[in-house]
Amino acid sequence: MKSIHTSVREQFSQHAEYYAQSSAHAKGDTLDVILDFADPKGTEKTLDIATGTGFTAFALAPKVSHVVATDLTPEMVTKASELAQEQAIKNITFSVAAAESLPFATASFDLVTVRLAPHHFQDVPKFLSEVHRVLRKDGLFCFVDSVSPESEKMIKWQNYVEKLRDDSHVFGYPPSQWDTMISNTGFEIEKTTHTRNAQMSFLWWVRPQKNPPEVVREIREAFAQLSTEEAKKHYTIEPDGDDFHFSWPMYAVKAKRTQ
Amino acid sequence: MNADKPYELSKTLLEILACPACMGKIEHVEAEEKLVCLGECKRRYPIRDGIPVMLIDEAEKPST
Repeated sequence: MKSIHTSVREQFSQHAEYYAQSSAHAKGDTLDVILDFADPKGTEKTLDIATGTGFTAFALAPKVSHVVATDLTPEMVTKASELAQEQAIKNITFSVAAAESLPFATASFDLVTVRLAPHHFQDVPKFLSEVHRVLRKDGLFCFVDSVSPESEKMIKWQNYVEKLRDDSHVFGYPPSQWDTMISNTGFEIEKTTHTRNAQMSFLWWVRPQKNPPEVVREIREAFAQLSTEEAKKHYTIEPDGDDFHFSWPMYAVKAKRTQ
Repeated sequence: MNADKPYELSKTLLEILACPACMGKIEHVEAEEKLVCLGECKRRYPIRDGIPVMLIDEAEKPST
């Protein structure tokens, strides 16, 4: 069986160009939330974990002292470094690194960010422990990611369809479990907010060019089994002929390292 | 800027890099384009296109 790190690297090494051009990753509410929560003063030594092609890191760079941007997938980091050169961003450096084994000395950073990635991490408690370690005391951790609704049934459903579509998906926790894990790691949660990604076409999201028809059918059937209330309340589903549009719930946290 | 090395290893990064396996300090051996752990494990991490690859699984272990 493939390790999660292998699955993630296979998934993302093929798609650096796609992510570099993805408007869903380049902008949107989730980037605004991270910038708002981070509220940089210009002096922060910053780490952006799972930077992908660098959107969050590039947005932070003019507002902080320095950004170190890491990702597990070398192709993503290479693309990000090319984009940084094109955009003449000088205060950014890159490293290939796993979120669960960060290659930095203890208390190296004032600010750590991660956006739209922890559902791919193989060990979230270990990742949080590493974020805690590399942050100085009173340093800030700001994250936003897709989450499951707060019910056992929906946690199971959402992770089932996400994993069917993309085997590099590991687990989307509900907000309450994020709060518990973050607090248990030694952070004090200062602010949280619920948001959503933009409405997506199911036929685009399900990636029919990559997933075989039987998998696409299985995912579509899973959506069809949602009650009308679940479909609307949790996923803002809107029918559109053969297609439908929907969004994932997102959760953002600003937490301070207090211990 | 050297086209073969899009990013020279910055001093800022080298100052904070640590071995992800043992947390040892890291030394840049320029002649070999490696980052070498000065701590217990002595792993050697590659630098590709000027970017440190700080993955435990991809590091060379010292010969015993």
